[in-house]
Amino acid sequence: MPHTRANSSIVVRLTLFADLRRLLPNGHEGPLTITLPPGSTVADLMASASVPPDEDVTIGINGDQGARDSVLADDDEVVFFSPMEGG
Amino acid sequence: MERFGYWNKILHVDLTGGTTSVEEPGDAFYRKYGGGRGFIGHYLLKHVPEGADPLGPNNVLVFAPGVLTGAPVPGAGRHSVGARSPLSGGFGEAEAGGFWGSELKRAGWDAIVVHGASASPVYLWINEDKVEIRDASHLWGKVTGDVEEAIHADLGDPRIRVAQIGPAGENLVRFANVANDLNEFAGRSGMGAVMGSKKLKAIAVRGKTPVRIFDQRALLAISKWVSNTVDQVHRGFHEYGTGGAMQGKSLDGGIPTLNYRLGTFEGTDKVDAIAIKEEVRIDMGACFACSVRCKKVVQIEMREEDAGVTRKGVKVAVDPQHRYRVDPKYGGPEYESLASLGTNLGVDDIVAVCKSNEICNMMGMDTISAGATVAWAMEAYEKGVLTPEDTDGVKLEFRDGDAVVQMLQMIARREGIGDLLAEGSQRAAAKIGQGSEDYLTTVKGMEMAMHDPRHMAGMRASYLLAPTGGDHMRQTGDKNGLRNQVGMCHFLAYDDDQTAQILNAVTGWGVDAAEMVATAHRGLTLARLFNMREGMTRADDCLPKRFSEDLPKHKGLTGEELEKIVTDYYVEQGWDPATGAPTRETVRALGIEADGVGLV
Repeated sequence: MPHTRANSSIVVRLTLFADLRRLLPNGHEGPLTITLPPGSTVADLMASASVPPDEDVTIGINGDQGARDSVLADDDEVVFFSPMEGG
Repeated sequence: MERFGYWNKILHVDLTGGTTSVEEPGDAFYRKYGGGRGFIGHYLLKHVPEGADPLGPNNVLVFAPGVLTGAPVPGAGRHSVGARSPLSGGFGEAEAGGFWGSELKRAGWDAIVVHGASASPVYLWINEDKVEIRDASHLWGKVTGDVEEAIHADLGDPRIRVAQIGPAGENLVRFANVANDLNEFAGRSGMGAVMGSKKLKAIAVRGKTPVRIFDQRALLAISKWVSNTVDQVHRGFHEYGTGGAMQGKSLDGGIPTLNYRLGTFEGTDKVDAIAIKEEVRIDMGACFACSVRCKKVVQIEMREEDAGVTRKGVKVAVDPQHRYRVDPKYGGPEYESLASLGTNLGVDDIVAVCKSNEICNMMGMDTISAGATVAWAMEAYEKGVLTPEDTDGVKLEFRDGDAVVQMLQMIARREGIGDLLAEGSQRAAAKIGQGSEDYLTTVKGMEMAMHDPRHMAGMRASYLLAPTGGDHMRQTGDKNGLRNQVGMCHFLAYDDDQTAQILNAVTGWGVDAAEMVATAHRGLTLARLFNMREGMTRADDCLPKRFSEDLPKHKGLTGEELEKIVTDYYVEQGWDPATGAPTRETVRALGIEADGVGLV
């Protein structure tokens, strides 16, 4: 059952993967729960979570690929991946 | 003159005559070549006759740490292994981490050059300055774990570090690797087959003399920076190792899937490094002097009663189907293995992926080429080019992890169709034909790593121009080119200034950015000279047909855009823009005229 909240905000959960975990607050394992105004985009979420705007991230919203201008909804599960890989 | 970072001692071993000798090449040699690829290029051009059989006694096998290897700073635990490649016929080289390279340096040696071939199995025992060629008949046929145990027992010291081949190297599987410390691998370009052709089963090393450092205090400052900033700088590697970003890659449409035909795999989250951590990982390991600790260790038991809890309190996983045990002494799968033995084969069975990885490790095979060769065979099977009669009844179907486990064992032992696949996918396709060449993902005869160049633009130059072929370690770039020479890990986030600080703290040379670039160019130009001497041309700097095809989310690559990358790279390196031949001026400027005699 969805949470009941005032229409003045939405709450999303953000998980940072791989190299991006360096951006988590000290001691925080994630995911982060972030409250935003309705109509907020992924770019707004990045700013709110202190992810630098020029950071190279792949965005997932509820399992599908998203973009920086994707508009978020209440209860969205958002994931950011960095392109880090290797050997 | 005082020496720092190197000893001025290169060990030459002639396995045909059963003799050893010491070369003292002089100080200028070390600053010029740096180690790794630089040493390999120099010795291949000097000692391997043109056209020599890669699996014959005239090939030489070079074990080359770099001037940084063995220095007490994170990332400096790497060494290279090189020879003429039995996969490409050109420059062969692979790098590995772990402890073996630093142990060799601590034993007082800067490199080993192995010449000739023994008539019967032998291993080399290097105990500080004492070198012995010993009988290895009792080790031949054994898997890597058993060999290490036997050598420790033979020589009575469990601290001995062992580089070795598994049965795949003995059987001349063309993508056999050289394992060290059981869980580190000089994986690419078939160096294990070259070692097997020389009947050299292992090189055991014990060293007790720390590498001499010019400025300990400066080096310690770098080490402290790494350990104090792990959470900020290397947290992803520290927590997951490689493969923590696979779900993102799949979302992006760039994860190799079903032999590079799709870029999205629905089971990615079942076989990525996050799943490994949550389900089967018991620990993380490290290389020499490294505080990042990015190496996965996995353990799986067949039955609940064997599982239990590790000393660190981690619950050991059980195969829910009770098929496989996976031994933690062989480490765990890196990203390349998770993709090559998982997503690219459509396998989302984490136990089978870990078992496949363990088989490659204990038998001594490169997981990238092994997985990619199986992917090629599975597509051939899907399209009816290979049939159940060809495969001894093994259903070589995508998504079947058990078939992969079975086929890898057959390849390592050259049983049935494994004998064909042990030749690598390009030779196998040439043999069976029927359009199966179109399923290849090879460059210069070597299977490409698990980064789709349609998705990752930065990989295009690496695949097109890495001297070894389909190699992902951006071996073409200056930064990583240098690291492949001096013995520094690509994953350490040092910037160029820090790299220079490390080099200068270790050697006292006072190198600057321009010299570091020149060193990288020198190594790449030596490799290019060798490849051209062995008949490679611009036509070999190309990608296979598969990558001209569109992915659902990414366009196929056109010949025109790839040609431009090649030309731009030739110009950057100071090679002829049309042919890629290093020019006389470039060879002179790099100071490698003696290496290039008769070639420019």
